[in-house]
Amino acid sequence: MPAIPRLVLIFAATLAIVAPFAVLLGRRGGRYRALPGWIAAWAQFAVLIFALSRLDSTISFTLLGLVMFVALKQYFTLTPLRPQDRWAVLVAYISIPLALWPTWAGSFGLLSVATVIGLFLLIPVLLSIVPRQPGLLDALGRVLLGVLVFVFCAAHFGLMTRLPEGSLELFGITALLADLPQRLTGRIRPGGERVRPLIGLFASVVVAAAVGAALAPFASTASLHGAVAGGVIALAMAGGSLVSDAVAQDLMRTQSDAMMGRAAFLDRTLPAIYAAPFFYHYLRAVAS
Amino acid sequence: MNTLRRVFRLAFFYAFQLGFVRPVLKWYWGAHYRRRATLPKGPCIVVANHNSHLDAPLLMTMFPIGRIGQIHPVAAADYFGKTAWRRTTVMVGMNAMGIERTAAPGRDVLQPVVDALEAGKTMIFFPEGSRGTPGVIGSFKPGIGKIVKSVPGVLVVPVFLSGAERSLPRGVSLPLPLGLDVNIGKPRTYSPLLDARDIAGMIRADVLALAPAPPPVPGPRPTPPVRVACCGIDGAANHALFLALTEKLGASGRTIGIADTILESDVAGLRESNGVPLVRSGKVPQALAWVLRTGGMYRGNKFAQMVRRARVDEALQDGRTARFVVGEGSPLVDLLAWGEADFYSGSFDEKGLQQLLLYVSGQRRIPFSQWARFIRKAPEVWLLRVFDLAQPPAPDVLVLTTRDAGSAMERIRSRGRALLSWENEAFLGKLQDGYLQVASVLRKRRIEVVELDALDLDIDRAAEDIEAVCRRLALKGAEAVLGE
Repeated sequence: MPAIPRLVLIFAATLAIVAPFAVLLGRRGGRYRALPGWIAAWAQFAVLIFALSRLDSTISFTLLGLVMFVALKQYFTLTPLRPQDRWAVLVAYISIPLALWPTWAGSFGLLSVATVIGLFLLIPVLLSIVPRQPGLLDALGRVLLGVLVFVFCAAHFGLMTRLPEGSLELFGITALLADLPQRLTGRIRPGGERVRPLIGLFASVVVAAAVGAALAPFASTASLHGAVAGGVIALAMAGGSLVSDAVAQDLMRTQSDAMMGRAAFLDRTLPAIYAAPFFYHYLRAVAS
Repeated sequence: MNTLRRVFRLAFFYAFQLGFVRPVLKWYWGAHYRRRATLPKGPCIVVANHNSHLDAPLLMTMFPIGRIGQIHPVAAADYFGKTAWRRTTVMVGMNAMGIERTAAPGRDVLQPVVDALEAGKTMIFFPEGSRGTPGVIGSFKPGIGKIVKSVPGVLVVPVFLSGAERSLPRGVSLPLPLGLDVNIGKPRTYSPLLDARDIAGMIRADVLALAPAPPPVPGPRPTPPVRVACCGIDGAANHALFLALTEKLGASGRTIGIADTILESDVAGLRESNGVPLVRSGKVPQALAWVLRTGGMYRGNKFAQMVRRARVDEALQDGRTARFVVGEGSPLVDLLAWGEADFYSGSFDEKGLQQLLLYVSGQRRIPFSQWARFIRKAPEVWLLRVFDLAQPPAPDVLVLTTRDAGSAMERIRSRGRALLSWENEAFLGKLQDGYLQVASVLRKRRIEVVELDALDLDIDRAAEDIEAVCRRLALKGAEAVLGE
């Protein structure tokens, strides 16, 4: 039986330690109320990371594709769409295998061509080809944001499998621990409370940098680059949280909404997905 | 030959349902069902809005596999019997019952549906007749009323379908994977004495009541509802005030009345509500109530009921469902008053009461060192907080009916039933003092308190006065939101 890599064990242990705290804190209500759902989403995310780093690429990329499909479906379910946007939405779904193929081949250049040049330029054409009606720019923004986050950014998890072994787990552990302080203190929101969320962000950067530095050697990366990558992840996740908050507010959706809690997935998944390209490109371009 | 044909039909039906319809709806669309447990075990008519070809399969999948052989969607024979493909997929694969949309003279096209219901089958019926414009619920044809009149006592299950009109609307052949939601209402019967059109109208209202609130237009958020709680030791006065207020406030804006049953009221009048959708299941409080046999007022089922009422109150917080919420009692106020009344063989002073208010409302957790005291004195509060079952909101207006304990006991005795352990003059007096003490604490928190003497109570006049207070508070709330 092959030995379980140390980072996998550390990731599992981190989850096992954080989960009971999240569940207990969730009972206090208030801003902690979403913590049990958040940790459950992280447990699922951990399964995806383990699958991507340990299983055969055919199986793991199929799983990644399914996760991207479900996330995109949830996003489009929440988003108001015009009937004439159907073809563009369909192309957004079809873009998942188109993005996964270059990812599987490990080529970011091909992913750029397939997503940025192919899809981002094709979708406006598809939205414009139908009988004209007001709201084109709104529809364009909605469809492109979905493709950008849930296809282009999410495809970077596939690309991370080409980084040195352990990088995916390093990302997972760092992102989980970077997210925690921001969840505990509340996120930065325009017009909201400032001091506590800023303390949370600072703590998040410090924790992520420390964890990144400590664990980077297990992923064949220098500690310094691990620390910087951790800081980058923390900041990118704060940016992703801002985006998810703004999108949820724009859609006027909350967890207790009539959509059976579907809106909660934006809050749980978007920050980590948002941070993936930052981490990948930092390690690929700078650290190597 | 006929037997062989029937066997083939049955095999195709189950293969189609189990091998295609259920997996595709579950995995491709990820259909969500809300309150599936309310579906009756016996025959019924499932009535839903209709905007898509996905509607009938969605309604079929609400039922367990063992029952689907007994369920028949009613389909237009002229449309679905047209081609071999439609006949195979709809009439056989979906087990549909075809009916003509235009009746031949002297023939009742709905008779097969009535016969099937009488034979114990369950029917799926779309009273709009056809799919119509996506997202628009058309008028319900009186046919559904005629069926209900023909089968007296038949249970009608209202269902609201959303998402299918976006995934596969009329005129579109490409189904998009977008989430589908099935919101199932409480089964009910309709009087066969009513006119078929009236029954159809009532069923339509029941279906529409299940529709999720549409996302409001960008701009200021909705104002939270104004909450009124009718509390005090005189249950009859509380109940009468609760009914009068719910009805009266309905004229000023949609009002939800929370008692043992949920009522709603608007310009159309007071009626039983289809319920407020709750995110969390009631199984945990029920199990806790059963296992722990909590003491005091909230013994057994009463505890689960209190948690449900608190959750309904919480769910209405966003202000999208109702402008006013009236409660016959208030979990928060009642728990505080019972705590204050020394029912749990201990006592809460003013400071203790303030502390208890923070615990019950979920603003503070009970310190571990206090657990033993709470388990002994106020197990309901302990269960509520430790299991985070609900966070009962404080009312904006507390209507407190007072009367002397002696006359309250006389009224209780006049009911002629056995007295409960706490139904004695001494305790009722303490409870009344508890309510007054809670009222004074709430007053300090700028909550409006209206005290009424139950023995000298003019319900209509009192309801009018309280309505004026509520309208003033609603206006103030709206101004505050606009000013943000």
